[in-house]
Amino acid sequence: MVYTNEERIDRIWDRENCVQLMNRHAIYYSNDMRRAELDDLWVQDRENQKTASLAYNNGYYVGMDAISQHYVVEREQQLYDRLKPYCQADPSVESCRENLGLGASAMHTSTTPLIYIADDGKTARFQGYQLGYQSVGSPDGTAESYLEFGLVYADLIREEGGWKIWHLVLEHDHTVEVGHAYAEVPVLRPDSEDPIIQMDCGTPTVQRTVFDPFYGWEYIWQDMPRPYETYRDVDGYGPNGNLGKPYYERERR
Amino acid sequence: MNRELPFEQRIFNAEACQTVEEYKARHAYLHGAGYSREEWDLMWLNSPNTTWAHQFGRMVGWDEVYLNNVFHMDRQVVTDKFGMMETFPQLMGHDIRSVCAGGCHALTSDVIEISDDGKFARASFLTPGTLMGVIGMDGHHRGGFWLWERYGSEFAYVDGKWQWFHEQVCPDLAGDYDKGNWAHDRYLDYLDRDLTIGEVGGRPAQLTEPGLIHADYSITQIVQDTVHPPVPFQTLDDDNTYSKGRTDPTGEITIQAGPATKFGPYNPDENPFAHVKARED
Repeated sequence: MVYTNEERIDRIWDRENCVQLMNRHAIYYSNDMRRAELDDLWVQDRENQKTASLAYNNGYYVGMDAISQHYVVEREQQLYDRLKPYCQADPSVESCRENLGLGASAMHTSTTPLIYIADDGKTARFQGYQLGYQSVGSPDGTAESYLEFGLVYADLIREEGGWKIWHLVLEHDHTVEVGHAYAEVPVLRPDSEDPIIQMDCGTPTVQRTVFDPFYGWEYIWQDMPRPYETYRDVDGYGPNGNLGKPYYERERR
Repeated sequence: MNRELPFEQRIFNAEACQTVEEYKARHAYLHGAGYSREEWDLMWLNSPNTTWAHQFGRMVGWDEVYLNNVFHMDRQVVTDKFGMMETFPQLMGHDIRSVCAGGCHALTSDVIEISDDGKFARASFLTPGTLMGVIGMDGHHRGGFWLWERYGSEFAYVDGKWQWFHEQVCPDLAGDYDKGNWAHDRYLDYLDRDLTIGEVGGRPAQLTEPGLIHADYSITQIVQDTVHPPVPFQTLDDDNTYSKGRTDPTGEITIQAGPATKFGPYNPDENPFAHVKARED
């Protein structure tokens, strides 16, 4: 494609905005500002909200209602449950929204961004890698702490308010529990028994294997973003895309 | 960044910065997946002055770089996978290069400069790499380690596109996520002769310019600023490069650079910590 200088500047700036959008997601996600993330960073157009998706290793939440129910409502209930022992240990600690997240900490970084803006400028495809941790404390002074790693994919779409997250995939490679030898975790442990998967992923609307850590990055050549003309579902990171599917289930291109 | 350049050149340079980020990210994922051929065939410059350096020295020329980074890498990957398949037969029939792969030399903190003449790009990166596998390093258990490195990378604009020209890899630290003390453990490894300074990255099969270019961390040395972040520069030359003497993409050699330090024969009795005072306890 040949672009005018003005178009070239726009595309440069678009890419920077996409990087920053995904960096903002990493920070909101780390801080458990999930409602604000959906409001500030995700699609606001009603049609786009219908097809928005959030995926983990075990499947896709499709539509903003399902995403919100899982990502915000279920999470909030989880945080209230975690707060209970603190309230029981110290009656002065109220079970209220302001105290949610007491004793917890998390950071989900966004590194290694690989981004392509579509030739038509309407969408962008993102790949990144997350190195992060989670710690959940208890009132007795103990804490469960995990290092966690995983690939991140996203379809971003341009709306009136700028670039927004449309399809987000938070894959999960490894969970290393602090204080425990990783080599002692069975190689063939089902992914569903991974503590981070159990804590974070819930029961998606569309259940299928999006990423299997045992087979690792087997399909990354097929799945990584590359220059493209316009968005097509089959290439996208939503539930109708090929992400993670074995060769024999992918549409011939 | 030089703001005195013509408007169109500044746009070109901004695009070039993003291309450098793109190439480095593509490399990180393709290397992690064992897809060397796709990486070197698509992004690298075929030049007699193409170089790829590690702490052990510098590979010089396209053929040598390709031999070590593609042919030998493929052989290693395939050999490892055949070993894994003996223990885990369910891997058979899967992509032999990428299955079970997943190490990511994650990229952060890049500093990128484009030459005023628009022909070269220089970049430095830090990487908190994580090289882990559900089937880890021994082929039987989960495992892996983190690997912190810094990169110095250079690109040339040849035939109407940016092409990777030089790479200097500087490993500093490696260790397990789940146990150990990376500083003290490494000290013990050196003392026990399990590791020699400058050899954590091993040695390639073929190397034109061997020599200790970057020494990985030890408690007996200062920080190695081997790939200082680039500063604004007019063009790639011996004052502005991570690969002195090899700055001309057409192959002219400006400095007949020999190895900074030739590898001597390995002497198991030599103690590199002889000058370090032993702890009393």
